[in-house]
Amino acid sequence: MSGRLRVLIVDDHPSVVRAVSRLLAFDYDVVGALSHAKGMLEAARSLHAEVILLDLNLPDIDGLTACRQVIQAHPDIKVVVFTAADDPNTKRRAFEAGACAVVDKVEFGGELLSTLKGLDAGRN
Amino acid sequence: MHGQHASARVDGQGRRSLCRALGMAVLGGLMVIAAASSDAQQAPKQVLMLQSLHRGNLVLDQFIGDFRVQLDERVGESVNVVPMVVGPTGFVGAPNQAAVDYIRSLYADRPPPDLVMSVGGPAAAFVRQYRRQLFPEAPLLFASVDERYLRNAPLTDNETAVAVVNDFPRLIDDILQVLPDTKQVFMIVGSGSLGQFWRRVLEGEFTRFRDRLTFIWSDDLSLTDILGRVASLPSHSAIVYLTFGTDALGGAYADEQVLASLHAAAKAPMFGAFTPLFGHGIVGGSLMSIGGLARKTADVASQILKGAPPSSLRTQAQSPGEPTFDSRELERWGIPESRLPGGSVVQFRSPSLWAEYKRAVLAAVAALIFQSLLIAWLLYERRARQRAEIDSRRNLTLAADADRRQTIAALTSSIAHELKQPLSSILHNAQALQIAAERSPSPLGPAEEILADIKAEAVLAAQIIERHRLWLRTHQIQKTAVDIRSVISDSLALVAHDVGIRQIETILDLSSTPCRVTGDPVLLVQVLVNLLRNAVDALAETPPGTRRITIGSKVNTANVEVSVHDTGAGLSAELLDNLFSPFVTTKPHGLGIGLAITQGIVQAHDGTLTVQNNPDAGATFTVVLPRHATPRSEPSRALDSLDSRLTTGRGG
Repeated sequence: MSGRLRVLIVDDHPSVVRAVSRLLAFDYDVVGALSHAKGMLEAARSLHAEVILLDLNLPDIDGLTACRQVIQAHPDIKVVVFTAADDPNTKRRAFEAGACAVVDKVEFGGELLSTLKGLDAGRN
Repeated sequence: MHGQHASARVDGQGRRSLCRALGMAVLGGLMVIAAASSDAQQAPKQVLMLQSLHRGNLVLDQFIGDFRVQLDERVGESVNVVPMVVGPTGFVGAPNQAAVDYIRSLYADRPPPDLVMSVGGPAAAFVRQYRRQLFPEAPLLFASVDERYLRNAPLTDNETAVAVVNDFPRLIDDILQVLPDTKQVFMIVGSGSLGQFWRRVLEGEFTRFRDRLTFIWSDDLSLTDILGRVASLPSHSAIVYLTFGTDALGGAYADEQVLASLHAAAKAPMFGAFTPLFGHGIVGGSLMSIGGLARKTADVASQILKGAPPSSLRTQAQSPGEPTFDSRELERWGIPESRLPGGSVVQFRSPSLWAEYKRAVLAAVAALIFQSLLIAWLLYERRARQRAEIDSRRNLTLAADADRRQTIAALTSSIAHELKQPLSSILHNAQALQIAAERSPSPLGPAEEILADIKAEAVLAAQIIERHRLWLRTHQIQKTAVDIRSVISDSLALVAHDVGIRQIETILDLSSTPCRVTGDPVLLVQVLVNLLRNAVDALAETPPGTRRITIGSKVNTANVEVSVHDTGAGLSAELLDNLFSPFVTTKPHGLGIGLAITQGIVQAHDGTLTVQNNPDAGATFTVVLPRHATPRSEPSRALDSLDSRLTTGRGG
């Protein structure tokens, strides 16, 4: 796939979704935003998402389960876990579930952008 | 009047005595008849006992009582003792021959007695006088007779005696030993022939006391007169009670009665010579043992009844025994025991409290000991219970404290998680805006600076949350070397706005040398900010001109010390004890977790946080942290920038 990296945001905090969308919009295509995991796989497929920015704390299912479902259904989609949980175990479990990166929601050094930049570079 | 009364009394006494004599005679006759009616071979031995005195004479009573018991024991079977009173207390005034005839008549149809015995001097004199008429073939035993009675008439082969040597001069010697000042002795020896006998004998024996003592004889006095005399005896007098029997009026009296009256009336101590009188008011002296005499007499009588010839049973006359005194009488008459003859025996001593109440005392002591032990055990139990209660309260407090701290941790973690969402929005919005500004062809001007501040503050807020959350969850801190003075400076900057509004003067009293510790600067700033805000709140009621906070830092070999001193109202004693417990606060809208968290952070840095009231006003919180071991060559860039920030010395 060519063009800008297509990012799907799955997070139940609208203000976070809005802010991150604004930030990513400079360099990437934010193809959609979901506040829950339901319909995520269909959206990813239909919207041709390449990266899913996935919050772990979702209202319907556990984010790690959602991560595993994505990896299983769309192995080519990269999942970046975007979480407020700073527990090292959570990070470890996210990687075990198939996430390619884990970024803290409160990041101070542009980690999110650098992660996506890395993925975008890898795509090409 | 007195004479008529006395005469009537003689008649009355005489009738009573005659009745007693006849009664005894009838009893004796019945016993003889009863004995005669039984089988001859099994008939009890017959003893005719001629008594000098009737019952009531203490000496005779004890002698006869003891003798009969001893005799039965020695003979091994019952002995029929037929008593007959032939002395002065029998049929008073009756002719002796009548008594002889009467006795003979009792045995007219009966075998003669197996033994005739006399008891006492008068009976001995009687039987000796009428021996030919009173069963001359029967063995004769003179019992309890003074050997003076026997001196002029030697015993025949069919006679023997158990005599006594009444040593009355020795009794007078005893009196003079215990009462050396004695001048006169009132002698009670009975009346009639008995009294006259003893008076005659004793006057002869007492001649050696003639120059020293005056003897007053009572054989011619009635009992009433005697009592009157003893009640009016001059000082340095003594009374000797030998025997009584009858008084000069012919009235027969029991010793117990006479002794009791004398003891009550007497103004002088009374002495006696026979053991049965002891305990009846006599002081004591060398006493003749009547019990011993009775045993000795029973020995001889039993052997006669068993067939031993009386001539083979001669015994030595019995003398008075060891001096014996009544402690109560010695005390009554003020006679010290030191005056008693050597070897004296003192009886009726007042028992000591210990002797008298030994069991009660032991029981009381045992009860006291038991009670003391019980009290001690109860006190021990009480103390143990109090300790247990204190421990329990302390454990409950610790449990509650731990619970509260867990609550704080959970609460903080939850809050931090929720705060992270808006902070994330702020940060990413700021980031987006910054990118937009960077890519905009026209500069944003002051908006860029504002944006930078927003981002910086959001980052700081995130850091504070992050460090607290990490510490509360894992009790771990990020440790770097930090100069506490920069921490103070950063903290003052954070509270500068509040300090300024409330017109509080701040004074810095910082060490000029680096105060480096190992710790998390974000958390340490939080410690100082909490202490400074606490001080600011403590000054709320203090007049503006005197509101002052002094922040000091000191460094020594091992520690760095930071103090926050305020001039507020200080802390109550109760609050001082619980100030660092979670949810303890004096602020109307406070949660009481600030100082608890502060202390927790300090402890996580291996430090201590203490508080004390100032002598003048307010309180001082002191943080002591281990000093960071810094190589001397290591440059301190933090200090360079710090110096520029602390140039004012005073903030406000």
